[in-house]
Amino acid sequence: MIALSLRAALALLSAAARFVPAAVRSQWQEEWSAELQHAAAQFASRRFGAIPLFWMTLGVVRDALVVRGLALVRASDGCSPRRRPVQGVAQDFRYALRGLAASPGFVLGVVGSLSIGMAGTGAAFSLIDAAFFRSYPTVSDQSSLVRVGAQQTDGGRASITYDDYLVVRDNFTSLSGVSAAYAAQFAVSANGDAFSLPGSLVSGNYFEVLGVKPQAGRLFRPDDEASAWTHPAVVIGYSVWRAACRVIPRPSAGSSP
Amino acid sequence: MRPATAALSYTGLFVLQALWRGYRFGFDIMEVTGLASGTVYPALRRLEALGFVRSDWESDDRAREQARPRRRYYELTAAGRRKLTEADARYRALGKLFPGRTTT
Repeated sequence: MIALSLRAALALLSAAARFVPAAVRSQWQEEWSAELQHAAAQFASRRFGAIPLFWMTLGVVRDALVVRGLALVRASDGCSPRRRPVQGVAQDFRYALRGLAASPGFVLGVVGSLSIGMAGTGAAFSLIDAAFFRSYPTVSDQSSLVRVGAQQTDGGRASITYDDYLVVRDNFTSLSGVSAAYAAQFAVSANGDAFSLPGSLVSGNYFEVLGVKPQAGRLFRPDDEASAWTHPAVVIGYSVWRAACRVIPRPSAGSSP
Repeated sequence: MRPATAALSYTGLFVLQALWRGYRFGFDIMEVTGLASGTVYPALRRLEALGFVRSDWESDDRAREQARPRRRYYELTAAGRRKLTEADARYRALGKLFPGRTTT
């Protein structure tokens, strides 16, 4: 096991050596190689010796970067210690731009293929995002939406009372708003037919919390729930309006839906 | 990098102290200080760049005798010894951190 770890460590050492300036690379690699072999010999007698050897190997990468950094600083001797490396970077950029200008066909090919790739990825992401991650397209700030509820001892979902909802609403200060919904079936009579529709009994601030705007008419107001059953209001979706209520004229803004 | 003005970290002082106590290569210093390899080796590079430490390769013959690759040994320079003396005066416990090395 330790022999295998040592081989992996030496392989990483060879890879990290690429970061080390060529002038000191062979000596740097020789020193680390001797250190790792010595460590492997020491750790071989330990029960899980491969683990400390692995941790020691991680230091190779950091040391390679430090040696490179020190070489850069050393190269800047005689100049402003801060300007010289920046000048080097600027020179690299100028060299890269000259190289690109010398082969415009290659640049066009690379830029074109990258553009097509990024556009395709963006389009695919938008499609997947809309199809799988944004289940409620009209709800604003979906990532902040959470469901609060009670759980039965067998793991099933349980309803809470309206009084409990009021306690949650008034004391759950970490949320910007809390609304309640209770799934129910509704009997509807339209065009001489009677049928049942799925829907929900909701609190007056339900649509305000979701951030939904009405296509026409108005949504619920706080006074809609001021006292029970005084003047029940309903919000219907467009499909229900078309299927069941198409005889009703399109409501104007401000009137009840 | 001028040794006279450079400020040393605790890590640097630990490494200097370990070298003073006779621990002369990276793994040895790691073992006695308890510092990670990613700390000790870069510290040695910086100390060498600052002129507090110098390094030299051991002879091929000695490495061959012990059937292992040759090691890079580090030792304090005069500037490093001065720095350590200053630090000893400031941090009284520094000299008691590690025992001296008994074997080579």
